[in-house]
Amino acid sequence: MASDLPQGDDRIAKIASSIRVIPNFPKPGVMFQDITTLLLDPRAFRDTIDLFVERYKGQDISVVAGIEARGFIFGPPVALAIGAKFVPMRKPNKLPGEVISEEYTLEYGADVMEMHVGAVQAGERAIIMDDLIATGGTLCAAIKLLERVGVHVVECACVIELPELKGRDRLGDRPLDRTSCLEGIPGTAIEGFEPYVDGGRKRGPGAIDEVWCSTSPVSLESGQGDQGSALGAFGF
Amino acid sequence: MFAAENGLKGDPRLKAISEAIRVIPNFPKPGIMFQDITTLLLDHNAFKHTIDIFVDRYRDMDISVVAGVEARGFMFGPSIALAIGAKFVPLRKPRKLPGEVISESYVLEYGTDSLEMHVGAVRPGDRALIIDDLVATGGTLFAAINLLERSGAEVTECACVIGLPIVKERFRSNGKRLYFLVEPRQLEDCC
Repeated sequence: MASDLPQGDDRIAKIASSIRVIPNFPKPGVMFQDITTLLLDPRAFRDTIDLFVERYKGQDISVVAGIEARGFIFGPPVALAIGAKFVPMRKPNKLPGEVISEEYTLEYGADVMEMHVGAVQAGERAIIMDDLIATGGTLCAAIKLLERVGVHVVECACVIELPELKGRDRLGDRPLDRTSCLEGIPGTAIEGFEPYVDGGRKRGPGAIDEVWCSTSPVSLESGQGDQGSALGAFGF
Repeated sequence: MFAAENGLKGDPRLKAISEAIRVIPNFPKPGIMFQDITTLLLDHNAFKHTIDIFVDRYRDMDISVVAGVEARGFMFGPSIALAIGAKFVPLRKPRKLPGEVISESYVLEYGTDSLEMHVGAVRPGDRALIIDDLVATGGTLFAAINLLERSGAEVTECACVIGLPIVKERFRSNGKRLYFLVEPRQLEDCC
């Protein structure tokens, strides 16, 4: 449990501070959370993986599914450390063998996620990893793919959450864990982003509310934490 | 067939790694026997052996950067980087990296493509290892080498899980080093 970690806060603050914000990418108004700078810091990258491994080791997880492409960076090291297999969840026409597909909606239009037939077996316990959860659409598609073949998705694990985009709600009663929570300011409009509209699903009563939060938002490199800035990004 | 590298010849781990790779005929187009490493990633022991062999080779070579080619290079590179204490740098298709980038074009069978790297990810004096799952013509890897050298890094070696000896020769004649664990499987090798 995150709150039991004696060094939890220290590692998380360092992880958060290693993430770079790129304004107006991929379009005006979006503050992109760039984890490539975290990957340039071997200590921070090691700590990120360690936090996930500490959480999932010994939990009988046999599958780590990673979402293309940044989920491919975090998922395999975790899979190797906990003794699980790694399953890539990919964009269409990338996987060479027989696949199952799940369509999901984007802000404008739709996309498709694919998984190899036979990669996982019914009854396996899985976690799904990505660098960031925004609206939760991508993670939701991954959950559906795994559940369609009888896998139990134990948790979704991300480095960064953008809580104001309410991705957590979209996961329903499936738990979400993330090492670094970037707190938006309640009520702040995120310029350029359509308000998130849900079909009305709420988190179930059994949902885990374990959150690991850094204490300050990741600010632009050029300035100190600007409490007034809106935070937002699209996870790809 | 297994790469007969010093110290690895007859290494039973190479057999396990090779047998974990699936061949998909006629993907992405007729005549191509695609070497599918996703089945290797499903075999925890074989995947671990793969990383261990690379780590054993590179841990004492003073490598400060592991650069992985999108997207399958991302599946192998970070674990190696973490084990040897190097930074991991993703080399990506155009317009994926959010910050300022440098770009290198390379030739495909039909047309061209390009590879990008973040400015500032790599510094002069960095010693780099480039990782991808498989080397075919070497076009992508040579583009990757150029990106790193343009940034002042020294590319110590390119490493892949799968390759062909003839490509190793091509690298050598260009003054570059290529290392791989196994050669491509044929369909009849698979049960």
